[in-house]
Amino acid sequence: MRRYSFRVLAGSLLLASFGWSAPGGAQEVPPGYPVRPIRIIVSSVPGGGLDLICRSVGQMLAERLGQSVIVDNRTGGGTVVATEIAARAAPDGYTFFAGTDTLRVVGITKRVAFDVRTDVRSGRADGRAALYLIVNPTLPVKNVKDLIAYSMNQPLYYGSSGVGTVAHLGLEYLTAKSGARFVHVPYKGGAQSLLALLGGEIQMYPGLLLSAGAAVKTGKARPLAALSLHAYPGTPRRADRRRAGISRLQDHEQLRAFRAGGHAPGYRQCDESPTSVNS
Amino acid sequence: MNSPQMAQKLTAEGSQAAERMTPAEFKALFAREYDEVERQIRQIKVKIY
Repeated sequence: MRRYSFRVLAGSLLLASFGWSAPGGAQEVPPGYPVRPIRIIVSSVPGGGLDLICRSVGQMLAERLGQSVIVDNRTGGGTVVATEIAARAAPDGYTFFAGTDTLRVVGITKRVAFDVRTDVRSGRADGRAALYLIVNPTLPVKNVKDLIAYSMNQPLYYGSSGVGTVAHLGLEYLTAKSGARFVHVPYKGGAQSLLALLGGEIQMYPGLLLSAGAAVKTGKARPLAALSLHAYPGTPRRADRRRAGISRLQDHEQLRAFRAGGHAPGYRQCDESPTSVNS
Repeated sequence: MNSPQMAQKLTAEGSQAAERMTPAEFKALFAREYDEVERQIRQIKVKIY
């Protein structure tokens, strides 16, 4: 079995509170913050893995801060649309951006007018979500090795939430290294890719169990392999990397949060010191 | 993200909260991975347009 290794990207939970920035890098929380609703601009469609996490985070934030948190889905352009909207937002601590590590690809390919390495001035990793290679259960393969061999006779189509996303690059890497005939079909979001998989339009979908869990549990979709190097709790036994025939394909989603501009005191305090939020 | 409720939710779906790190640590990690991914994108010659 060949060994594949792809140090990837991930989905970032990128909270950009283009907030106020105090001198010397110290962050000050304005009195009474927050005095109005907080907006989280999410780069994924409603129902996607990132969206689901953001809604949970938003709900927790709202309960802790006593202020509404609005999840604002802005899809398109493989994260570019949401990134630009967030970058133009007022630096007042009321606008956050939640995206994926696709942001890194957006920066690398210079699809935005700013440098994501410098303009996003601070951040933190908030979570990791394993990326699974989920297939239509009618596909007569037991592991990735079978999958690659099967594609030699007929091309297999896989969906993603857009060009330049983690899922796209991960599968392109596997395609390049294995010689498989995998064809990319970009959709507007992960949820649409999953629907296409269930409808038989595509045969594969590299995605999160967060969004595909229900389909997997009902047998309408099958996680063929966990693409992450890291062993996540809850990984289906048959999707274990070794069983699936992947030894070192490292392709995971890392949910991260960071802010461009100033700090997001509400989120920061929630994350680091929950008891201090309302004090 | 590190609250017990969120940890439980993520674990149930094959995910988990990330290790905690400071903004500076995150920025350094982001920069390292940026360079690595940039190299790999060039390697596989995938068109992202």
